[in-house]
Amino acid sequence: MKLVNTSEDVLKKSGQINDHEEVLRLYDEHSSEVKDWDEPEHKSQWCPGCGNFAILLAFKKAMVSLKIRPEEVCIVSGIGQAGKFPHYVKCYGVETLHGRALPVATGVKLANKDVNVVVVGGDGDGFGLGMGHFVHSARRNLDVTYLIHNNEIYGLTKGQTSPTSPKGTKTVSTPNGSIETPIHPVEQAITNGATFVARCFAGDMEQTVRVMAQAMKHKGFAIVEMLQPCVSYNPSKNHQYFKERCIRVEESGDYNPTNKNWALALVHREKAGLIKDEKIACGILYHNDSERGTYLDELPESADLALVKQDISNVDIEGLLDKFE
Amino acid sequence: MQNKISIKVGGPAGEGVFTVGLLLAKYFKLNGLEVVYTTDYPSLIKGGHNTCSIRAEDGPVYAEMKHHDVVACMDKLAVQEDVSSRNHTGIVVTDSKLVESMNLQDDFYVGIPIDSLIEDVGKRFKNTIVFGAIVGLISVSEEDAKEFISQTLSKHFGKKSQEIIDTNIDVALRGVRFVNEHVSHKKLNKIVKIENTTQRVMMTGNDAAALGALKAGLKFVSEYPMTPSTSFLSFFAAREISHNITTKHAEDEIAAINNVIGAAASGARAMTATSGGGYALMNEAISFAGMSENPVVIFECMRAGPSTGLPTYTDQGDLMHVLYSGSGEFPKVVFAPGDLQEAFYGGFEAFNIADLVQTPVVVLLDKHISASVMTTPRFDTSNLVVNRGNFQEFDANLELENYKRYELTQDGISKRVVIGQKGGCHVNSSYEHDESGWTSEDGEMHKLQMEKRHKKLNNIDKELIKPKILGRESDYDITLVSWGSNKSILQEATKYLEQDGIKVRQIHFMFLNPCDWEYVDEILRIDVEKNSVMLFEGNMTGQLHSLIRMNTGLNILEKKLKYDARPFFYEDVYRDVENFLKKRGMNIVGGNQK
Repeated sequence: MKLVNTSEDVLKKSGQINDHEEVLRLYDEHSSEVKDWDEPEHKSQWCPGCGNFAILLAFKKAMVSLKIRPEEVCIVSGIGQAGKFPHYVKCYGVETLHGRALPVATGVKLANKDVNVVVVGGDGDGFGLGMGHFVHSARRNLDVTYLIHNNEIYGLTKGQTSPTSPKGTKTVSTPNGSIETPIHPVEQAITNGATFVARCFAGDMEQTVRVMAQAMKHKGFAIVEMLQPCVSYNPSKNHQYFKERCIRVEESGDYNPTNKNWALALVHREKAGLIKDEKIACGILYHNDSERGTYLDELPESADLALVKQDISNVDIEGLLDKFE
Repeated sequence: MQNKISIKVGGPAGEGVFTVGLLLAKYFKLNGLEVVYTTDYPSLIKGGHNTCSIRAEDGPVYAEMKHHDVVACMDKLAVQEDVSSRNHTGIVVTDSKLVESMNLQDDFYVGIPIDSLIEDVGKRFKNTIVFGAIVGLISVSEEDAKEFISQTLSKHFGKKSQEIIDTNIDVALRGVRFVNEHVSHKKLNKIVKIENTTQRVMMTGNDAAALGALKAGLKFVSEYPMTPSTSFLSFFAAREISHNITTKHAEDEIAAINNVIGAAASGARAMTATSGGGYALMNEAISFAGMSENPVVIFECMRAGPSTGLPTYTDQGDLMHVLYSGSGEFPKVVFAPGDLQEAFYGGFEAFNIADLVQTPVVVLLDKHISASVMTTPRFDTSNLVVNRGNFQEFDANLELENYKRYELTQDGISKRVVIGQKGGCHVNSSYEHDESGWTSEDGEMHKLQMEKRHKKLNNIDKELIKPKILGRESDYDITLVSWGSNKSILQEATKYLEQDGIKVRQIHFMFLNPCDWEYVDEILRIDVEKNSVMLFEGNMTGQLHSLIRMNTGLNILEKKLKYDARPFFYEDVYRDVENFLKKRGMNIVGGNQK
């Protein structure tokens, strides 16, 4: 893909010149590796320095590492800056309505179980309008991967408080500071029954690629919270902020991701502000393949053949009509 | 002797009022008669007041009657509410306890000592004894009654044990015997079995539409329960395994329609069903399906609104809502079947049309047709062809080249692929897009894509979108216009009007969009100008009336609008037509309408 024509002025103003240069460097380094997944025609509409660039590169690298073909993947997105994701990846995409990516993805997957379905959306999309679908998708345990980009702000509508913004956030929609407590994505995912829950910062490219690939391989609903700087509307949480705080959770001594209680204890410490030096645990926080089967495992009608591949040219209803005689 | 009867049963919810109705409907069908069985019930589970009406004749019947030969009242409230709906020779069957306690002295009351007749088997057989008593009153002989009661109950309780079937037969026959011994002097039409050589089925409009969808190769259903559309969900859920259909009870209607859009984008034939409120929730997604050109089929079963309204009652108030739902301008197909045949073939054809024009197709039903049980000739499926339009079936050995999902073509239709097809990668988008699917805000491209989408509707069969002329095409005194389920009710009225020498032309609007408005103008202009057209609609504001006026300028002056949440009675239609013609100076002999 073509990255934006970066105007030095814009980058300097946002204080992100170094970050963006780093992204450009990364793209140069990996361009040949991910070329099968590139949409070279499409010029990005993201702001220079946006966290999405690194997430996008990580995603393509993860796809390469999984050795799957572009037509085997469908990215279903909501509306928002993250929602533009499918346009920048060469594979199938459905750019849905704001907040409705999960139900569309559910339909895509149930109709064609052979497709790897990835859902991409932002915090406003997923936890605002989409919250109800999020809860039901988690309990459904359909085999799809949900990358939820969290920059704690509405970007596309120019900077309003989001459901994940910390209490007290001052934006144009909450000039006196937000009153509500933010949603904790990892907590929501685990308590609603997701069987794979992770958090990543694409500034750690190696870990992000690895976790995304594992999320895709996981049989069941996999959620990856993507921590993401918004250079335009949430500049205090920039690349530097996350770089200083994000740590690889798998390297910590008590790491125990198959234990839900361990993961929830971490969540509670975070919510209570008890984490030393504001470190942010990144990596797989909960993962249990054996907890329960996926939704599709329970559907005999497409066990042998995906619904879209079944012959419908001459369905026999005569036996049924007999019953109405 | 005439094989012609209308029966009403009233009683509290949970006491088997509808079982009595359904048993009678099956009984009449076994006797070779044509049947209409309708229900009227409030939105609750136990108590309240339910009624149903069963009408049977040896010729076609399409609608319930206002007044009945037999009214069966299963409790005190039913006596208070329903006795007035007997016709002038009609009888009322009720519990002899009520005859006594309510001091019901008129000789049209037939008291059945229900408690003593079912003392040994228990109160749950109350409906069976009432069924038996009614059969006793209308059957020519006890042997005859016995034969058809056995057949009816064996069919009805088919899956239950022989013991349950036998007990029910025994109890029903006690009812027969009681009336034969005690009330044989009551005059009633007797039902005689006739040889009916037409192979027939008996079902609801929702059943018929669902069977059509099944035949069309439906693979995916997502629905949130909402009366009167809920039976679609249970119909398909029961056939998930036998017919390989994934049926999802979604978390809400917004999820349901978006599930369906996803499945359609994947390449499966997919549908949802709902009522007005649920359809309102789907509006944004319907516009999305229009923009992204995903073929989705929606069955909208109208109930009386606005808002939660009268959930279990009928209405035609959603026509404009459905026609103009969704933001922006995009093509949408809307049609309203008028009877079971149209519901079945429409249910089938909806999917061919959706695949042909790749846009939302809304099939408008209403509670009257959705939930009423009727007999109809068995559907002939031998000529039904699944046509997927411009669609690339999945082919693992094929790699498409230069594929463009939204290619600008002569007829506006571009090729769809199964998600997963090699060479078919594209973004299926709710944003305006260029031919490849890439978001485009270019003014010229927006215009081209708008025109592309809209001209797709021109590909629909020109004959299909003309309103149907029923009965006389020329030499008529009056033209009756309606849409949807009122077709059948006007057909009934027409039958009796014609018997009385009134020449009727009936026009039924099945397709509301697209619709051949030039043709409408052609067949209506002269008659509208002569003021010899009457329009019947089940809503308050005359929505079809407005639509006709909007598209042709024709202003039909005589409109009969019914918005009491009940269907039209053909007897009222008859009277309306008679009065209108009398007012215009026509001399009418009359008298046959009963």
